[in-house]
Amino acid sequence: MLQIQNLSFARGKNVLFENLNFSMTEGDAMRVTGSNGSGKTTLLRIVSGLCRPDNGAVVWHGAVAQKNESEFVRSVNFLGHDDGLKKQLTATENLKLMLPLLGASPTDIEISAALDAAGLEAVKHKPVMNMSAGQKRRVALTRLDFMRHRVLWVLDEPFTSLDVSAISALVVKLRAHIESGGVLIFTTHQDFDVVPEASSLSLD
Amino acid sequence: MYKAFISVLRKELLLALRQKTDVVTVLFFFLIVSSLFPFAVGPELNTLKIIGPGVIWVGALLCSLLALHRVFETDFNDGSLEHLVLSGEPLTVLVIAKISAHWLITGLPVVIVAPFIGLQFGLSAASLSLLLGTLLLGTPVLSLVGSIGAALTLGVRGGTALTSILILPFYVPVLIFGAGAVVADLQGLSIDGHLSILTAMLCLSVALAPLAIASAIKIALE
Repeated sequence: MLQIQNLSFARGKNVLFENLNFSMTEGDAMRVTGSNGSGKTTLLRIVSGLCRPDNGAVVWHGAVAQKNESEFVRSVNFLGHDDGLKKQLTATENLKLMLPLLGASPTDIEISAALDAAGLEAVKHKPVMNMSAGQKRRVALTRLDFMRHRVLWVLDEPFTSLDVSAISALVVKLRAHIESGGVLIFTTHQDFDVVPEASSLSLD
Repeated sequence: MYKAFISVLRKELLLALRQKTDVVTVLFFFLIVSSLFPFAVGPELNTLKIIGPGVIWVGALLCSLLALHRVFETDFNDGSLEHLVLSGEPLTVLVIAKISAHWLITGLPVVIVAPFIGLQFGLSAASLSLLLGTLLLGTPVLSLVGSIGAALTLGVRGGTALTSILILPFYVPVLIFGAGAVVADLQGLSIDGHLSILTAMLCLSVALAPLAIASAIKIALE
């Protein structure tokens, strides 16, 4: 399904990774580990199509992703360090205006229910700028509920700022995605195995 | 594609509605800049008539420049630009939606207010309608060309100043032919050439600017 072939990337003289190879198929999960600056985020950005490698290729369903970019990115659900939320808009407005762009068209009721389930019932109609970092992250992660049609989930530090209950809820979502045949690549600095079924790739 | 365009446009307009001060600041700036000239130059009507179109055009140009950094910078900083790129929709279409919103927020109010400002310079009804026409043709060019500069300087420290330096040379022809059309009309000269060139600039920038901006955004995100 997803093959990473001879991927190399350097920032100036600093080689982040060289001739990296791995492949993933339906239901696979991978945790990318490494110290700060080891290239975890860069790898995830390359896999999701945001960044081009110096050498090598990302192959998706047998085709080089860079050559079939628009088709490939429709399979990708990327969540980066930044939440991609507009601080002046409410959580509801953010999801309502963002999701149609990503190919999902949930109703207002569905969005409201998803935010309630994420524990954001009291703040869902408040501007995001008034939320804590954890609440903002929860809003961003609520998008995952509507992104199951995008098979390849690439999540950069999804557990950052979350409390224990939110981490548990996220793990349930991630496992559900894997069990339904999705592919998951994520980075985390959590000490414990948040998704034990995930294989590990170290960039150190 | 149409849904994506509407979705981006709605979002941008809603954001502008929530940040009314940004929109009002630009319009207020235009009013102040163009209203101070008659005080500085004096009440001589012929002088005011000659400098009026130029002053209004310079005001419109500076307003466009003032708001350029908002087109992509906040999206770049909060991560939503990544979602636009990964949406799977043609980035050029989404870029056009954002620039349309920029023009509706900063260009259109200036176009609407300009004839009233023109009255201070003693411009006739015919000159005012011509001024309106040239602004309607020219201000979208300012938004389109300016957005190329804004996209090229994404993530660069001091990007706003750099955008101005990059873009101003490309703004000058629009200024010359925009203001020049009204002045030529006042002098009884033909304005066909001015309007044709302004229209050609608009067509060229509509066709080419979104492509350049989409490429610049992708480079900025790497």
